Amino acid sequence: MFFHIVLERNMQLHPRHFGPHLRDKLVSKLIKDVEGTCSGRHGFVVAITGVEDIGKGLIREGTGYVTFPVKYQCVVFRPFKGEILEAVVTMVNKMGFFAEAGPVQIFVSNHLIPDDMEFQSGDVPNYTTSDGSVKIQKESEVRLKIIGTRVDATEIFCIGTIKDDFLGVISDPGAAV
Amino acid sequence: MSLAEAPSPSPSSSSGSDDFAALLDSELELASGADSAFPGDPSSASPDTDDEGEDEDSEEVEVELLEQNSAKRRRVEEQSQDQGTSIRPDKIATGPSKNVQVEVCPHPGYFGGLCFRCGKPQDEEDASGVAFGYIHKGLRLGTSEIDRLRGADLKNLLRERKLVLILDLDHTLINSTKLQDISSAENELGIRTAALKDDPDRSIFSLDSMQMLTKLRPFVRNFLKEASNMFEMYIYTMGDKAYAIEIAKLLDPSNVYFPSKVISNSDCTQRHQKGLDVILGAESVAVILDDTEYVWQKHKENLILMERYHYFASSCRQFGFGVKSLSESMQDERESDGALATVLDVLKRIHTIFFDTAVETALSSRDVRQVIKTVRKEVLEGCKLVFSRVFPNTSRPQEQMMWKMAEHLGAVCSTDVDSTVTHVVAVDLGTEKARWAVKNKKFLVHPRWIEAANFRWHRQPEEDFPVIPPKEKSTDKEPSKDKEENAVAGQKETSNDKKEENAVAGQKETSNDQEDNDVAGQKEKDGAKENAVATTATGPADS
Repeated sequence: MFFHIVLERNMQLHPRHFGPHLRDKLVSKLIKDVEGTCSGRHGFVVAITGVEDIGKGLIREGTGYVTFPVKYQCVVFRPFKGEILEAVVTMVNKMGFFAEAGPVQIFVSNHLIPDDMEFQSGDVPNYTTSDGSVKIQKESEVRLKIIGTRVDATEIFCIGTIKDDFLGVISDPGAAV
Repeated sequence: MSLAEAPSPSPSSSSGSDDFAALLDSELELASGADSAFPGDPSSASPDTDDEGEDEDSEEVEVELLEQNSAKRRRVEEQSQDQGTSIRPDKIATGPSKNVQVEVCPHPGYFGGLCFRCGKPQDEEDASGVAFGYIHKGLRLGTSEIDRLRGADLKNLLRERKLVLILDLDHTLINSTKLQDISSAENELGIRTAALKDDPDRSIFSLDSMQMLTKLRPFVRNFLKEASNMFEMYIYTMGDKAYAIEIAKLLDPSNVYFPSKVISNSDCTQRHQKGLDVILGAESVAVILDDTEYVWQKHKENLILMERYHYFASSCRQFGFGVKSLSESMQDERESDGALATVLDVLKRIHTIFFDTAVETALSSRDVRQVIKTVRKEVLEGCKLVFSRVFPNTSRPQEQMMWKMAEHLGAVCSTDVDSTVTHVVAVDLGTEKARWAVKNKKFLVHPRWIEAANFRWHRQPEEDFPVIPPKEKSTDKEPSKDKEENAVAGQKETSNDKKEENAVAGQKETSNDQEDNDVAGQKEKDGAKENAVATTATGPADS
């Protein structure tokens, strides 16, 4: 799920940046530092949309660095348990399949793939129903439900399931006619 | 904004978003509670500390307590009691959470620290299972799950008539050197420019990112192509991951042989040891090709030992050879009968025996280790060896490596000479047994003859491995060969009368056949030898 929220961060700035472009420097450093990171609470920071407020700087004794409290608006993405997501399959193997929804990596183990889908090895490994009508392979798009999440400093791990109503393949690259 | 607010990250600074996240979590919790989906994690009852790293579960409790929603509270309490248990996802849809049948999830494995069956985080202290980092980062499988996957995999493999082949990289498929270790002789021969050429068939590659030069062993591409029809292949190297992946790209540019099957040192479960535990293939169908026996302590029976491939001078130096390297003398192993071609034949034979023998046993209960053993036993079948001054006097000869190797190759070893002995293995011409061998026209070979047979999987021509003879003797070695051949054949015929008759007779035929082949190759060279061939060939027919 995406959120547009306001976050705050204390930015340390080297004294060489002090001058007319201090604010620009601060913002570009903020973007560099924050975009693409994860936090357990907010999830993945997709983009910074604006800076609300930059507080007064505090000079650090000894180093000369200055700490600015910066409030900024950003778009974050965070998967929740029970959420339905659409994801692209990146790898299929006998243990299940891996899928990605943006930065989020989701693993659907074969315990959570419907029992009537069987693993087929070969050049393009896939899970296929016995009648062959549904096939999950690399690049397939699937709708899945998150049953567990963990957020690291740089990565979000999720466990998903497609063993439920209305879940499964939504577009099949192999079936394109 | 005042200075007072400025100092370091105060808990209250992000309280706005805290509340927001908490609200969302509780909303989601409500929603999932309503449709009786997956209940939250077992709630920790600890008071909310409200710092940045806290997990959402404690918030849920807090919010729910504040709401004083008795129903929800009951649910939370239930969950606390069920800590460590889980609800089977397939049963969940059947009814409201209170009636759900609670079952313990066996936690078959973890992805990123979450059980991939129930979604619960892994216990900190419970680090069971084996990491499968080479398949996907953060993947960990429990032993029962590995067994289950191996079982399912075995059926698939056997249906496709495939076995599992584990390949080592350095000195087996390739040879690498650091750029700084290239010798001046190699540089003069333009070895680095050879690596930069844009020739699709070149076998030297430069790995710029790693400052290395890699030489593919001759025949490796054909080897991989043919082996991929018979085997599911893994790369297993003690090198680091980046190196392994680079080499895998060289060997398999289109990624058809080794998709997520490249195992490097970071995946090993034991230091300086390779193990089949990280391979999702059953041990009974795994064949290993490696140049180092030591690292496969637990799986020696699966191992086919490879002759080390030293191409670069640095590699020779590393293993203490003073001789010129292949690169310095502009030579290389031959494509047609180099080590990889030889071993491919062995692999083909193993594959054929495994799948095509008329044995009644079911495919799934066959064991490739037995097949390897059988094939190996054919190499020196029918030879009876006596060792002379090869082992130190103090030790039991039966425990010596060379003795065991000869026995694995199907030879019979003996401590004393008698008329059934076919070969005397010695390093010195002066010993009593060596002299006996010369007198009785037995083969007198250097121990390297056994090693060569071990690597080449074929009985080697004995005359290629003479015991360091004094100068004048080495010249008359060739002519004496005919006589030796005859002598052996004749001797074998007479030995048929002996008590081992039945047991040995069968072996003799094959060994004589081998000699036929050996000699047949030389026919063109030496017409006179045809007589010898004739005598040998009739030998088994008579008996």
